[in-house]
Amino acid sequence: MQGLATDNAPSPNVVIPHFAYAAVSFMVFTILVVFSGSSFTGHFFQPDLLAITHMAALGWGTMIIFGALYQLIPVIFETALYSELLAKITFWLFGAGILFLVYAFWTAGFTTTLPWAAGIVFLALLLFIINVFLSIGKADKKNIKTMFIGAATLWLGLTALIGVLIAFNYKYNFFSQSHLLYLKMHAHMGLAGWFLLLIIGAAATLIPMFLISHQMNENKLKFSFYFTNGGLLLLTVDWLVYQGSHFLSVWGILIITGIIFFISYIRESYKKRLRKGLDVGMKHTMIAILSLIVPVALGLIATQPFIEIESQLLWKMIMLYGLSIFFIFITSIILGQTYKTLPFIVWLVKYKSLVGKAKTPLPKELYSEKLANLQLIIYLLAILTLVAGVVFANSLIVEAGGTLLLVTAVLYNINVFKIIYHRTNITIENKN
Amino acid sequence: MIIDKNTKISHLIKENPKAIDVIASINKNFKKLKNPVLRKLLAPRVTISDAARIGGTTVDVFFDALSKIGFEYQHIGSTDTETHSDVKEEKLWNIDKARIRELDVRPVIDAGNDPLKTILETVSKLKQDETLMIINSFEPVPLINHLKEKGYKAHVEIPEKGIVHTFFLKTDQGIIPDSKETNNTDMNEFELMTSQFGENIKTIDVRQLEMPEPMVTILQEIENLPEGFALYVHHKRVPQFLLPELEKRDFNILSTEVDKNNVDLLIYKNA
Repeated sequence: MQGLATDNAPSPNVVIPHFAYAAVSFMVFTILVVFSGSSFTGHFFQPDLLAITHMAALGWGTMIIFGALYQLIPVIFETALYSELLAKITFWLFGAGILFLVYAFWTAGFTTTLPWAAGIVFLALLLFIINVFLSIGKADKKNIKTMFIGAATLWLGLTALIGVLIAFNYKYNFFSQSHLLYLKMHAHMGLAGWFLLLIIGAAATLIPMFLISHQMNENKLKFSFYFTNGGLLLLTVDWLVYQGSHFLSVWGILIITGIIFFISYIRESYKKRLRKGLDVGMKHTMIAILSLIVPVALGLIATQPFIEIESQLLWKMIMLYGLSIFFIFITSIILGQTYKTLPFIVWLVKYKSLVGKAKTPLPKELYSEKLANLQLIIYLLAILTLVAGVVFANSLIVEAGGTLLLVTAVLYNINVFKIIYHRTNITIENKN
Repeated sequence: MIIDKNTKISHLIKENPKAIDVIASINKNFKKLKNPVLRKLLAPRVTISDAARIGGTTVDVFFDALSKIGFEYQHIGSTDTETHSDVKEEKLWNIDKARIRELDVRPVIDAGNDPLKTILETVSKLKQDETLMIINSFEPVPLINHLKEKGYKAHVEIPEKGIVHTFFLKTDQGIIPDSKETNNTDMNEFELMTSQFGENIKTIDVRQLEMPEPMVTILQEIENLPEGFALYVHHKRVPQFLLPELEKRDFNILSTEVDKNNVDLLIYKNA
């Protein structure tokens, strides 16, 4: 083989377990929602909400991103993952750490189990960060998408660091400020730093690829990168030094400007697309991207210093803010991108050696499209119900929404495991 | 479009694709232009005056032919039959007559084959201080450019009309390690392999296809590729997940980046 490195593709047994773990986590987290409807109508700092948030953020969101990223690294960086062994160790440590962490929150073991659990998760995330940076280091090709993924990974490290500090603070009490201030930093670094930047980097690669849009304007991504990172950095420094100055809304606007550049990039891709019809995966993805408007608007209102918002309403807004990010943006984009990536990954394993020699199915034939469409409809009902439950502060409606979300998760799991356990029934005659 | 002797052939074709047929009809040396791959290789590198020299004709013949399909021309500098090259060659070095290796490629070309492979094999076997003399009916401008990039000195002599002697000598700074191990495929290697396959190339465009159709299409094509043929693929990116499968099937792949969103690939069975 001349010129091109042949074996950048990761081994499927590094990637696929992440998808399985995440699918099950999604189901577990929806079950937890069903059992804690009343917590959605009050203050956000409650053990069960913290457990649900971390199940969603780590077990569901981060776990599947790890798997997808291991698959995407060769495409974006044009190099192989630094170490597959390290990725496997990370998976087991992280998988165990998440369960321990969620258990610690759910049982409110703030001074007993939580510091240990946080420590294990921190260690696992550190291994992941090392693996990604050593992979980036090997890459010849450094572009704006690499920068997004690199920056997102750094923010993940900071998020984990502050998280572990908060956990240890419950036991040893060394913070000079309220732990809620650090919690705010932890949450924003995690959401805007890790999830948002990573999703932008991955989506900027995947969406034009799936929609088949040519000649994209990458300057929009560059602006997006500097605005989001700049805003986030200023926000962090502001909280750290001034515990929140009057400029908070300015930093918020910087981040929002970055998000708008990203949305504009996706809009351009959508307009230039050659593939006109959207399948269920792309519908989910587009819903996710449109939903970014909700947290953007809520964040703008919450940070502007001119109107006093009474605490009940503020709690509601914070709840909707978190809900729109976790339950809509992150969840919907993952639900959608699973249908675009996982079938392809499994298809590669089962069929690449058969292509050209026998008739092979399409990746989308590996799952039930009917079930996926039903899942999309029930999901939309679920989020509408959840939002209504929070707005009307009615725990019964929240639980109904949680139940619909659980049905979504069940349908999703059926399809995910149908894909993972897909069997081929093609044999080739007379070929070796 | 107003043209002059320094206008690139690729610009003519871009302005009016009919230029391909017009130039090809000037004389048989330009038949190559009809092959899309060779056209791609030669057209951007060759000006009208280069082409006239290669074809053993004058720029006026070109202007006359091209004016019939609407090009306007203007003369700059001399318009005489250009018997001497304006490609910058070094002066002829002291050649030890005993250390010249002669290669007459005219029979190869007359038989309708591309002599490039033979030339490059001979070049790679050259000993220290040995000069290669290529005998040809036209001045091999792309070959000269290629070997100069590789660090060879070149000199052209025209002992009589219709016979061109081109001399090549390896220079010290020309010892560039073979780039086969590097991660970026050498552009020239890509072009040279492409030209070696000549007309035995099947071209496909997979840029409009949704994943994994590009991969499926490419693998299906190579399964049906005739012996000695190469597959030329217009793609959006280097297909990372296809590479291991090509290797397993004993195919080689070279790539060249056209721009950020376009990559050309050449896929062929390992010899």
